[in-house]
Parts: sequence; structure tokens; C-alpha cells
Amino acid sequence: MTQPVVEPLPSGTTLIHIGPYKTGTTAMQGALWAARPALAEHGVAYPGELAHEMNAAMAVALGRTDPGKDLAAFRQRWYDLVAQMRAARPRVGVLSSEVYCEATDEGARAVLDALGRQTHVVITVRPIVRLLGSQWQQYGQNVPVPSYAAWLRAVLDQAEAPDGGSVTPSFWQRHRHDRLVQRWVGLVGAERVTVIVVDDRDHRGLPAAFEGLLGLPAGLLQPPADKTNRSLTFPEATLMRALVERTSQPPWASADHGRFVRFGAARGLQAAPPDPAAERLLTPGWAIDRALEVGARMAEGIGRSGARIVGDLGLLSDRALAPAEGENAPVTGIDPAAAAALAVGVITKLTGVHPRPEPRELAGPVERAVWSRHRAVAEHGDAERARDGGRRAAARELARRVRRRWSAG
Amino acid sequence: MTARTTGGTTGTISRLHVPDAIAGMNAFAHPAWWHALEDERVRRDEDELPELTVVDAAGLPHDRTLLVVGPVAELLAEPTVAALEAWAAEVRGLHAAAPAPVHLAVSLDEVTCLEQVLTLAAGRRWPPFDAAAASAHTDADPVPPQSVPGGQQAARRYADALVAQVEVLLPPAWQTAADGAADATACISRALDTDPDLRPDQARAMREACRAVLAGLEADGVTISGPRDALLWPVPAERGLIPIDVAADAACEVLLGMLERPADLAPDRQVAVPVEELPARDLLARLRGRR
Repeated sequence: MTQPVVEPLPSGTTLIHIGPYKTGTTAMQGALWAARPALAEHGVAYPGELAHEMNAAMAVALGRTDPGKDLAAFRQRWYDLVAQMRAARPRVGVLSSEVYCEATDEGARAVLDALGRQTHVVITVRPIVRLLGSQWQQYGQNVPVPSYAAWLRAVLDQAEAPDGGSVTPSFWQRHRHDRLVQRWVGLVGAERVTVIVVDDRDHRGLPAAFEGLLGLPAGLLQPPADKTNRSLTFPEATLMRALVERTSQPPWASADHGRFVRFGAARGLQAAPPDPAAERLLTPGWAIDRALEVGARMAEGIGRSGARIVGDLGLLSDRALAPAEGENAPVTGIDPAAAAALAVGVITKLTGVHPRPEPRELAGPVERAVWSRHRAVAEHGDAERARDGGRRAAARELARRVRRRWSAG
Repeated sequence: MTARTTGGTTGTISRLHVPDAIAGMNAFAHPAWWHALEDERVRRDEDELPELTVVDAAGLPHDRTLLVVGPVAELLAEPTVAALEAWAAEVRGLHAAAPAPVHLAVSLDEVTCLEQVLTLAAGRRWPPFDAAAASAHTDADPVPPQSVPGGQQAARRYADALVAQVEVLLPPAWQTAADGAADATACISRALDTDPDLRPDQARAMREACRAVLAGLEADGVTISGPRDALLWPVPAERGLIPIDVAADAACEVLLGMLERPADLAPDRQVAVPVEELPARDLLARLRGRR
């Protein structure tokens, strides 16, 4: 497939990739992260200690963090990242996080003020019709959501709602891509916004567009094979919803739900190979039609925004890109290996609770209980080592005295 | 609750009320069993409080009435909703009439000693976490294979897949992985009935009725601890598949098992969660009628 020719950003620019969600952000963050040494050789800095510094970005852009995380510490971390990037004096600095797409007015101002006037905003967009299933799954890993059909009906009915509507309002806050583009054009000017239209059939398209913007050799950015972010099968998604129904609300602590279910159980399912016999998620034909209509309206709005467009806006309403069409019959059973993967995700996450001297201040009750276990084991081991050390020292002293007595004799 | 001063510090001694064996509950609790303990914390007054034993329980935050129960099938005279509701009415009656609120401790092991009674009454699991035994293992040790009764092919596949996939991320965490694997597998095994008394649709309806009854008890102020999924009627595997609600129950049981099996580090470093705050009531309420 022909790669678009993209003019590189001027030297001294900071590129901020604001997502939105499910538009190839994880792949690009992985590619940038993996290529950091090579990027540095080409004068490009991608700061941080993680491929995606999500909580730092959330702290500044949204004024919150994931449950159990220290807001002030992560806000400071974001400013430290910016300072780290500046200190490298790069030709182009890069920040990437999909959470910027949801930035509050105050958060967006804080981000742009800190990055300065030479900031260039990159927005990746995909056909909305291809985002419906994955976003429903994503929500379902975090909060209770209606069935896919009910959710589709509610969400597609509220596509024009100015605040995103009442059911998962963040869907349209994230994915009215036209409004997102217009908002950031309003903040920084059309000349400082680039929209990349992602074509899922062309796996080199997105990295090639970034390589062009960053002035990098073709092929330098290689998105890693990501097995941890795969779509769930329909039975897996149903199972995840059943668990989230149980743990996402009080009296379960949100910190425990986030750590052990959202980032534990869900990851466990995604890390295991899908059951080939399990039905994938199907999108009803009426929903595909509605989503393509919304996509066409969004393409018009983006086209009018004046932002630079990389790729074909026609893809946003192209039926050839629609997902598998149909309606899933309800499922009540799941493959034992997939059921086990859910528990594995929880258990593996539990085993990662660090035996630090005190539990994390923001830890939930489950994490505190597990911390106490790990701490007790660590302290028991320390005590045993101290006892063994004492015994060995006493034995050495005894041997020394015996040797002295022998040599004196 | 009685405030006492011991050794220069003020501690609290709560009273644990343990009714004698009744309606399949507190099967261990007979006058002779208590008498054989010869423990000064145990008191019986046949005139004032017949068929009840009172235990001085240091560490319990409030007075409490303890009912130790096993699997639901052992509690019910017959596998019917009517029998289930009759049992719940019995518990509710005790809760209303007893000197202190009822705590329902699910225990699948026979009660054999007073410390076990006190542990269950505190909303903990027996045996308690053993740091010395846990420290004999490291993250390099494999999680042991899980035993599953013969004939449970779906549970066997579940257990094998689980053990094959679990990672122990930190050296002191082996016991956590082992307990999590055991709790999850046991939950699945308990839930899958290989010799059903009921048709599959009846069993599923009975399981939902059990959820609703437990939610109702909790709404009335009864607290529950232990592997509470044992109070849900077992259902058959679905053509080799695990029922989805059972798989979700098993993941919850892993979390509950940790919550109810913490380590006691020192008196000033308590991490145990009071039983009133255990995440059961709302949990069960949300599950009412769901599949």
C-alpha cells in the first residue's frame, strides 16, 4: 500500500499525540518506546519510564489518577517528564497518551502551557464503526455496562448529545472525532494539528505517518506484537461483565477492583489464547448503518476544521471496513481454559503486591491483606537469616578460640 | 461487650454466643464438646441461657452469635426453594432473637478446637495464614497441581489450565499463588454437580434462589464469611463448559480468600477487615437474579 508523504515537523517542536482511545495508541507508544535509542540518534526524545505514562498524563490533563494512585506524585511526575524531555534538547520531543483526548479545559491549558508554543497536536482517527465493539469491551472491563445490543442502541441514539449522553458518555467525548479535532484546532490553531486516518488494512500506515512527522527513516518504528490487548471473545466479554458486576462498586474498594480485576482479571483473559470455537463479538446491521452515518458526518467536520489530514477521511464511512455483522445468541458457559485465565489474571496480580515496610496508603482491603502475607513472609525470612547469621558467627568464634587454645598449648 | 484492663492496657472482650447444633448448623456444638475443652473462656448457664454457649472472645469488635455452616446441600432437608426459605427463616429467627447479631461462617472443615471457632467468628478462614510455612517456598517453586474429584472433567481442565498459567511475581508470594489456585479450583469443583438431584434448569433456578436468600439475610444484618459460594446450589457443567456465573464466583472467591486469610504481623499492625465491612452484602444483592 502506498505510504502518504508527510512533511516533517520543524526542529524544536513537541509532538503531543492525544489519541483518542482504540486508534493505535498502544501500538505507537510501544513502537516509540522500543525505538528510544534509535530515536535519540535522530534527535527525537520520548521521555518516561513506561511506554505509556498514563497516570502522569491523567493527573495533569484530567486532574485525577487511577484509584490507589497518588495524584500529586503523578502530577509532579508529568512535569518531571517534560523537564526530562527538555533537558535532552531534542530536535522533536514526543508525548503520547490517549487520556489527553479527554482533557478538561484546565488540563488542556496546563499541558499546552507547559509544552510551549511550538507544540503540534496529532490526533489518530479510525472508523467509528470499528470502535464500537472494542470500546464496549473496554468499558465492560471497568464498569458495569448493558448488553452489547442495549449499549449500541443507547450510544448511537446519543451521538449528537453535546455532553455525550447518559450511557458511557465518555464514548462520544472521546470519539466524536470531529469535535475533538475542532476543539484542539481552537486551542492551538489548525496549522498545529495533524489528523492521521488509520486504515486497519495497512499495518505500516500509522508508523509511517509518525516516521514522516518525526523525520525518521522509513521502517524505524515497529509496533510490537501486542498479545495483551486482544479483543475478547463474546463468552469472555460476558464473563468479564459478570465479574465487573460483582467487584466494581462498594463495598469492594475501587482500588482493589482496579488493580486486581481491571488490570488483573481482564489482562489474564487477554494474555491467554482465545478459544477458537468461541463466537466473536458481532455487531448488528442496523448499528453498522448508524455508525457509518455518524462517521460520514464526522469526516465532513474534520475536513472543514482546516487541520492537516494524513490519509483518507472517506474510510470513516466505508462499509468495507465494518466489523463482523450479526447478533450473538446469549451465552451461559465458557471454555474452562478461559475461565481459568480470568482467575489467573487475578492471582498473578495478587502475587505482585510488594512486601514494602508498610502497605500503600491508598491500597484497598484486599491489597492490604495480601501485603500483610507477603510482609510476614519477608520478615520471617529476615529473622531466619539473622538467626542463621548469629549461629554462624558463634561457630566461627568458637572455632577461633579452639584454634588459639591449640596453638597456645 | 465488656471493657477490661489487662497488663496496663485497656482491651475489649466481646462475647461470642454459640447456639447448640440446630438445623444443620453448628454441628460441632454440643455440651459435651464444650465441656471437653476445659477452657475458662467458655461458659454455659443452662438455667439462664439454655442451648447456648458463651465464649469470651478477645479481639472481636462486637458481641456476635456464631452459626457455622457447611455446603447448602447439607443444610436443606430437600433441594427445594421452600426448604431453602425455611432454613433462611430459621437463621433470621435466630438473628432476631439471639443476644447478638448472627454471623454465618461457612466452613467446609469439621470444627475441632476453640481457636478455630474464634477464627471463624472473626470472619477469618481456618487454618490461618502460616508465615513460617509460606517462607519455605519462593517464586521459583511451581504452584502445586490441584486435586479435583474424579468425573469432573470441566473442573479438571480448569485446574490444569490455571496451574499452567499462574505466575509468581515476587519471592514471598508463592503461598498467595497456591492459595489462590486452590480457592478458585475448589470453588469451581463445589459448583459443578456431577450427580445432580435436580434437572439443569431447576439447579440453575435453585442457585439463583440461594443468591437471593443470602442477599436477603445480609440485608437483614446477618454477616457472612468463608467460601460463601458453598451456600449456592451446584449446577451441572454445560457440555464441558463452565457456567459463566460460576467462573465469576471463582475469581471473587480468590479475592475473598485473601481478604479473609491475612497475616497477623503485630497488634499495632492489624490489617484484618472487620467482618461487617466484608464485601458480601452489596455483592450478593447485585447478583440477585442475574445469570
